[in-house]
Amino acid sequence: MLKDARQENIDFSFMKLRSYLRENPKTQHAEEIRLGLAEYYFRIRDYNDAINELTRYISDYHSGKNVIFAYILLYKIILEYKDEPQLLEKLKEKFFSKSLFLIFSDSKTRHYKSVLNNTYKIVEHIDRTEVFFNNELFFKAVP
Amino acid sequence: MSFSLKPFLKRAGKIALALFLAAFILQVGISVILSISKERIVKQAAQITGYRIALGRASFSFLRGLNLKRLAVFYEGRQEPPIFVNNAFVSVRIFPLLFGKIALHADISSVVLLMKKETEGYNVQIILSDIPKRLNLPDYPHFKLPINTVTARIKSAKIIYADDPNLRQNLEILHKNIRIIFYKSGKLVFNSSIKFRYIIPEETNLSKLLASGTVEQGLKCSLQGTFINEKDLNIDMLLLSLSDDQIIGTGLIKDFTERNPHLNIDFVHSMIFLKNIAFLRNNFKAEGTSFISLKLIGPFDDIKTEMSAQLNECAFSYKPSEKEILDFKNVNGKFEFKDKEAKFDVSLLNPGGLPLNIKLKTALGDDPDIYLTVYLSRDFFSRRNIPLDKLEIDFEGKVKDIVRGRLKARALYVKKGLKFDLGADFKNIEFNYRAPPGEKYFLAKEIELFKKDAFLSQKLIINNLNSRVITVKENLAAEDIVLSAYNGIVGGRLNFNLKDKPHLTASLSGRGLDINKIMQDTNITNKLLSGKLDIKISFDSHSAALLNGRCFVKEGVADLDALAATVDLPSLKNTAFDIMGTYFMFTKDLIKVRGIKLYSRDIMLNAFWDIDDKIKGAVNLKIASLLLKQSPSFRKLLSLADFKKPYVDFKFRVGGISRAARLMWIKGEFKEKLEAGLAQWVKRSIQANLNEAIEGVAAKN
Repeated sequence: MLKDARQENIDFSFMKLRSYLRENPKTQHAEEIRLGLAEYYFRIRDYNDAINELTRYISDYHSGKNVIFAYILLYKIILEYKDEPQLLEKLKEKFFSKSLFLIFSDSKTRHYKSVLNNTYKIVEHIDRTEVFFNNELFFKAVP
Repeated sequence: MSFSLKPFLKRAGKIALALFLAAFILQVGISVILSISKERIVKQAAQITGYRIALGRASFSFLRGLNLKRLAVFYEGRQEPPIFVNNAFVSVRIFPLLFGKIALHADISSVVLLMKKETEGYNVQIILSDIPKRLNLPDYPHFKLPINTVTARIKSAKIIYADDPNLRQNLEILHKNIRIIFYKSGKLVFNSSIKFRYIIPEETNLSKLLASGTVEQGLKCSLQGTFINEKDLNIDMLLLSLSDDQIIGTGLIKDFTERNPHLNIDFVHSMIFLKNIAFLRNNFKAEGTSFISLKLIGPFDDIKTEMSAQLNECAFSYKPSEKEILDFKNVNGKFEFKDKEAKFDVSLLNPGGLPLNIKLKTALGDDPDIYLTVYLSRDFFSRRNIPLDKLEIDFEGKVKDIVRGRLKARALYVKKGLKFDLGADFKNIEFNYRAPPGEKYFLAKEIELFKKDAFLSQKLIINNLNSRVITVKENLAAEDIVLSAYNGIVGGRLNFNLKDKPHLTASLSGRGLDINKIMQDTNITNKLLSGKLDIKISFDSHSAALLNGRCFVKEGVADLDALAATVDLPSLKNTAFDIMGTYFMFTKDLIKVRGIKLYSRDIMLNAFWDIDDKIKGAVNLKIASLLLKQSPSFRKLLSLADFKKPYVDFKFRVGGISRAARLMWIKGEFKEKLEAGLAQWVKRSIQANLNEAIEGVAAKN
């Protein structure tokens, strides 16, 4: 199902995924799908729905390993389209919440490919964190 | 026949002369009889009244009536008479007689009343209540005269309290121009001018505190009352006048005619100018107004005074020593006096213009306990953007020439939503505040400093603080501070300026302090196990760098197991070192450790970083190769890198935030050799294992 969704047109993928989730709410892919739905809203610039979806996702999967990507999308929306500096600062802390010990490299990288075929790359340096979305610099955060 | 007046007048003149001569002879005769019978009269009077009486002289004149000179009434077997009348004329007014009324009048030059407490009340009151009762007994019907009014005019009456030798010698209550009128209908009128004078004994503390050694006050008293039940006196009005100010009261004196009457007098809320109270004017240059209410309640021999006053825009000036004047302005608040205890709750501007709130509680007496609280309002801080929620100083002790007691200071500091409870507790303090400015000192036997927040509790214990104190206007300085703490000695100085925005500067340096005990109390770290601490700090509340300091721990032992665990070394729990030092700086937002150094035989550390939310710094670590070789992993790595030097250099950059630091190993000789010798997959594996280890530690925490 997810494989099909990745290959389809983004709008059709969205409809399929949403319908699938509705019929199978307890599916093991629910976490991935929900992040994908939020991502769709972001891509079509429906930022209010994106924020709602991301907020629900973060609340339900706050200790999940992919929740950082939800924070990334939320951060980007607030950064570009909302004027809320205090919220932005709070979100930024999420990108520096884990300790790091770099021995042989000057950064640590993490990848993620979403259900809608978008790629995320988080590069953590000693003094900053860079986020790439589909290989383009999404934003740079400095503590 | 013509009518002539001359014989009539001649006859009238002769009759008048005869009458005058008769009156004169009668007057002289009565006087002589009185003189001759004086002893018998006195004896008779004693028998009737039940009290021993002495009389200097008695005479009579038609004009002024019965004259008694030096009349004394004694109480039981006492030597000194409680009542002494110097010169009295007792007469019956002629004019009322024409209307069939008897008006008795007494004209007295001076009276002295020697008040002494007996079992049933004051001696004078006992006598004055007993005599009329005895005169009313059936045995003495001739005293039951239908008297309509009794008036007395007393030029002066002196009241002396004889129980306390100090009061007897130094207290004088003088009534002048007393007028008393008692009507048959039961009405009583009393008027007098009162002068109250108390000479404060030189040896007392109060005399040293006040500019004037005498407390004097004049006032006028006017009372109108009505007897009810022939025993109780209902006070319809009691008016006390201090210059233009008046205090009006009403009440009841129960059992007025008994041995120990009970007073219950309430004075209504009245406004008075403080300058009309001589004690306040002469000693404190008091100005402003006060609304006073006063209550007198209790038996005559133990009257309790309750007073409350609302101070309104008052000002006071006090001279603790010849060269100093303290002016307090805009004094508003409350004063209460009850059960021999005085309480103040006021706000004022201190000599430096700082708005203070003061609560003070003390008791009457020469050496009372004093409880004092001084605090700044929350409003004061918020208006000046000072991050404090509270600043309060409490004192409990005694104030003579030297202040002795316990002093506590407490502040609530707010930073980014967190509240820090800061305090200092000075026990057994001594401060000779009355000494000239250059001779003051401050001692404290024990001081506890503490800082608490939701996560951490820290304290420091200091002993035997001694310093010189210099006060100049709104500036307070402590010089030559010496104290002992944690087996070491600390010295320094401090300056506190109270004008406008309070400014505190301080510098302290200490040597040989026991680091282990300090760490136990301050909870900074439990990794410093022993050593002698030398420290130097400076503080400036107006500077961006609030606190600057450096400290060195010499010949110590540290627990470096955390480092050992990180690099997989055997335990370094008790690592001896020659010296460990750190430079640090506190700003309002930033804790900046400019450097930390550790020198031991096997480990040398030199690190520096800034900490607030963001960390930025560097760590240089040098570890002996021999020590590293005790770790199997490092033994392999050293062999692989073919590293033969006695010490391995590790240089790190530090970043991230305080809750999650980031370290990066910077290139050095060892790292370069290692990178050259290790395969990529090995390097990735080492990094992955380390990441896992860090994730594991983070998850645990």
